[in-house]
Order: sequence, then C-alpha cells, then structure tokens
Amino acid sequence: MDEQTTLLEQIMAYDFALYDLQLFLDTHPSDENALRDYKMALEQSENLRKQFQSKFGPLNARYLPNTTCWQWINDPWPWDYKGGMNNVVL
Amino acid sequence: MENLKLTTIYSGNNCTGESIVIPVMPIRPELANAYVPYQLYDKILPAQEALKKGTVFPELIK
Repeated sequence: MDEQTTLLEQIMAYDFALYDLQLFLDTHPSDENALRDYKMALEQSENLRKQFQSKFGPLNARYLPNTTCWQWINDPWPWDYKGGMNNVVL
Repeated sequence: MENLKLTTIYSGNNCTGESIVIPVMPIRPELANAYVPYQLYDKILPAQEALKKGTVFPELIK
C-alpha cells in the first residue's frame, strides 16, 4: 500500500475511534479514562491530517496552506486515482 | 452478583451536582420491562483494529 493510502486509512481509523468514544462519552460524561483516550485519539487524528495534507494536499476546502493558489481543485480528483481510462482496454 | 457492580454519575452539567451511585443493572428488575446494562469503561482496541471490528470496545464484539 502506498504512503498516501496508508495515511488515509489511519485517519479513517482514528476518526472512527473518536466517533465511537463520543457515543460513550455522551452517556458517561465524567469518565476520565474515556476522556483521556478521546484526547489521545484526537491528537493522533489531527497530526495525521497535518501530515497527509502537507504531503498530498487538502482533505477538504478548509485547508489553506501558505500559497497564493487555491489547491482544492488540483488533479487528480478522487475518482481519477484508479480506474478511469487507465484500466480500459479499447 | 454481576448486577451489583456500582458506578457514580452526576446529576448536573460539567460533571457537577449531586453524585449518584447506580448499579449497572436494576437490582430488582420488573417483569415486562427491558433493560440495557450501564457500560463500564475498560480497555479500547487500537484504532485500526477497531475500524475492522466495528467498535473500539472489545466487550461489544459479538
């Protein structure tokens, strides 16, 4: 698996863990261990996002690196990574 | 008995207010009522394993 996909998978994993912990904290707001693990997962997710975006560009349009150019519309678009005409035998 | 495990919750916002000790399941359950045990925090799975299993809580994997 290439680095970009590996990073994306890690981001998805931490975001999932955050959502599951959120559901727990909604019914257990004073659970210090759950809150500690939520903070740790949040840090991981944020660090991975920073790492991904500095290398591979925006995950969403709110990512604004120091540049004079709007990067959100850069190629390739999500559906251009695999498939498309590259895998079509004419 | 498993039902007699106790935990503390708070009546107000921001973990304040009256602290109430509750059992994780009713000690005297009523007929025709359904109950969900109050989950106690233990360990969580590593994030990537959790995503594959569908939960961060090992005790919820069925």
